[in-house]
Amino acid sequence: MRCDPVALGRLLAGVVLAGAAASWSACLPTPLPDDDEAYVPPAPAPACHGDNDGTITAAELPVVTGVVARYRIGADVAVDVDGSVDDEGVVVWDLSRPDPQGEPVASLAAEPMAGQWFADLFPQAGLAAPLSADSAQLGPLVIDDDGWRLLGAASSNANPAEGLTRVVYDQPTTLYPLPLSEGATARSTSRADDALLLGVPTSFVDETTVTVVRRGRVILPDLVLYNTLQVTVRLRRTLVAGDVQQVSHHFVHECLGEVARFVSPAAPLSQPLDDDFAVAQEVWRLSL
Amino acid sequence: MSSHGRALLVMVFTAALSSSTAMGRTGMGDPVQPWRDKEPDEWLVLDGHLRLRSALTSHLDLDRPVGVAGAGSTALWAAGQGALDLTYGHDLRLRLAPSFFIGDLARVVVEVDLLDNVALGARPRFTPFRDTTGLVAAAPFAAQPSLGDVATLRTAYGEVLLPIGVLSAGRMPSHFGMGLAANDGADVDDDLGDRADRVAFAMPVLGHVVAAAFDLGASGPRASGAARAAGLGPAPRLPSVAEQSLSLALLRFHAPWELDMLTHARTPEGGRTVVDYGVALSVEWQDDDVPGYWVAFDDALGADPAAVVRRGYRAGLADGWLRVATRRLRLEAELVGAAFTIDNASPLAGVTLRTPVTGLPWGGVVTVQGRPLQDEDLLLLHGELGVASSDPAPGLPLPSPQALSTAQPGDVFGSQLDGPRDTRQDAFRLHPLHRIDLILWRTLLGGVSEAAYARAHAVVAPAQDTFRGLRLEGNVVYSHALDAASAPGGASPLGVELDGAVVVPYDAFSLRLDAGWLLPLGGLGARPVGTQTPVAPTPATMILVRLAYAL
Repeated sequence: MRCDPVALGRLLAGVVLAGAAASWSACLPTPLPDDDEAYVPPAPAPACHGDNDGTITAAELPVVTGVVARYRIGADVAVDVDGSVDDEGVVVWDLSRPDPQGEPVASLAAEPMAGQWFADLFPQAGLAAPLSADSAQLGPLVIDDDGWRLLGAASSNANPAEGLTRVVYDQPTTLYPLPLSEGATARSTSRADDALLLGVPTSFVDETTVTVVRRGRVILPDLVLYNTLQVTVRLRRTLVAGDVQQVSHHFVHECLGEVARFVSPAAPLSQPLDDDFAVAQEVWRLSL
Repeated sequence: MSSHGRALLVMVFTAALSSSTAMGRTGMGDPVQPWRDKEPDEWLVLDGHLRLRSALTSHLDLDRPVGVAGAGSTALWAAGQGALDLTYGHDLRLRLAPSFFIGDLARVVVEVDLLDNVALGARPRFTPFRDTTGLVAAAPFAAQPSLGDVATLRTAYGEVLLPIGVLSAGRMPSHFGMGLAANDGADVDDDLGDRADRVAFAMPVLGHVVAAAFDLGASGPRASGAARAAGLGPAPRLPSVAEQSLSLALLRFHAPWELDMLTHARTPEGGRTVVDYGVALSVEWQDDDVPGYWVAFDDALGADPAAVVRRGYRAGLADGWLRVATRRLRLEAELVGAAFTIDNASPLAGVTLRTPVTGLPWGGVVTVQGRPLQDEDLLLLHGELGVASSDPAPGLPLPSPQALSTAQPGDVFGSQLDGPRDTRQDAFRLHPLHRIDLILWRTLLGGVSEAAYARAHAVVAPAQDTFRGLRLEGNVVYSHALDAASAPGGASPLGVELDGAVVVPYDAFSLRLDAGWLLPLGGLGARPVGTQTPVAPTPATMILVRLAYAL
């Protein structure tokens, strides 16, 4: 083959240009995959050093805004509220069945009060925690060494399509009397005047009884938890017209917070509603 | 056994499982040097050094953003000042390493760091001001407040030469082969370095050394509040909580001076090809753990059964090393791999993670050194290939396992685990003290991990007749991520680094000047989102000056 200086020059120039192009492309990072979820800067995990002693102090129940917990939310699920007792006398709640893999996931996180549309209504609140699995309603909370106290409720959005919720209690409702241990209990009566429930004006009185009824082992699909406390919350709500009651069992573990929840169907106050209901309207299970 | 036999035994044994003297950055050193150097009636041999370092860096953060999508939440380096993004730092280390010889058969080795990498200028006089504030301008003097804040006992062990072998016990350096898995950090330019609380025995067998060692990696809290006074004998602890390991090594090894003697033409035995090799096998286990103890060393947890979690940790490690040396050529390679399982990786008492964590990390290095010129000391050429296995999770593995999730694409470092969705940790990190460069792996990323590299290195000693020891070094390294999706920038090419160094020894003093320039490639950039235009990371520069005064 005859050597053609011009062709050779072109070839060399092409190689150099191709190399330069390859080098330049090697200098550049590649875009994030399209299916990546929106970036959420990871919140620093709360510093918590539990002692697994069956008593949960305020230090063992830290709340940090922005830390996301994932729950599988099941509807109309058969539950064993009392659990079973193993050979060593330990109460065991096996929540690994039925497999919750197909249940929808709720990613829940406490939010700071600053910037919330309802912040001025609850000047004492330190943060707002989700009250429902879809985070459509938030509960402003006061958290200190004595407990978690709910100041009311509010829609997370100032103009929700389903109608605004705005509830301001005259007295806080105690959710967790701290330290939490078997036998701990709290009763609260909180009145809400000029309230809005999903856009409907109303007033009502909430009588809430919170009791730590048992401790035992909770078996979740991803975790086994020892010395978890079962906190039973009975809510009796008397409205201007009508009333309603509901029982929920919250399984609370030190450092992890609420790891599971059974929520009973709502019923009028005139009907009996046992603590050990057989079918839960909603079951929450912590999912890693 | 003759004294020479004992010395040889000590030499090869310590090479197999530990080393306590200065050594090169690759290859085993001469651990028996203190035995050889001491005079017949000498009972104390002092080793150690005073080291001062200064570093100046420019754009070492590569101008990566922080806290935005595609860039992760952790800065690669501190933000600097000015257009050059400058940072600087100085530190000081005084290391004392005396060997106490007790007769001809035993010695006790101690290594203490005083002023262990203390930042120069850290404590001007009158500071800290405690309850008030003040000015340090014109502070006349700087000093540490007390020795209690500045002394670190690195090593304290004894060894005795028995008729059939050598018995060693105590806190001792741990090193094998090229130092990919265990590296004692004995070089004057090293920091940290591995130590093991160990009992070891080694014996010569057919020209080899067979060594066995038992290590106690983590003993946990005291088992209970015993009624008797503290300090009388070992405190009781729970055997199941201890992280323990048992190692066996088979080794054939020649010290550097022996290697030189055997391969070099100037010696009577010159011209030989020397083949050294070794294999080490190690198993490690921990049945239970008291994770709360490691937070603040609270011994009260040792009396609390509720603080114990079932760990179920089992690991096996195999490490093979080979060196073939002739007069002008040296080939050296090491391959290390581990398999492990952790039945319950929970860091919290009272919590069990139901899915075990497993992994199969591995890594290896092959290096070739040649002396092509007639004057063999004038030029040393060195080529090296290395690899450390990868894991598909975003980012490089965290230096310590303090998180079980939260890594996101774009993170430089991240947990390689993600709850039950990803329970494998297959990423390997070559030991940070196996240094191949100045900036990328040594300073920024803490050791080669999830990547392969190719390195060319040359050492020129231009004036051996007039200034022995003076040398100039040049180094070029290309690094490539094994898994593009796992790399911070989502691309495999990580960077090209050019380094140069000058080493000027003068009697017991030496000066080393390093300068490096890193051209970071796409794998180190911040990942763009959607239609954002990709931005190449900024090249980084570093200068490091080290002064050392050997004792």
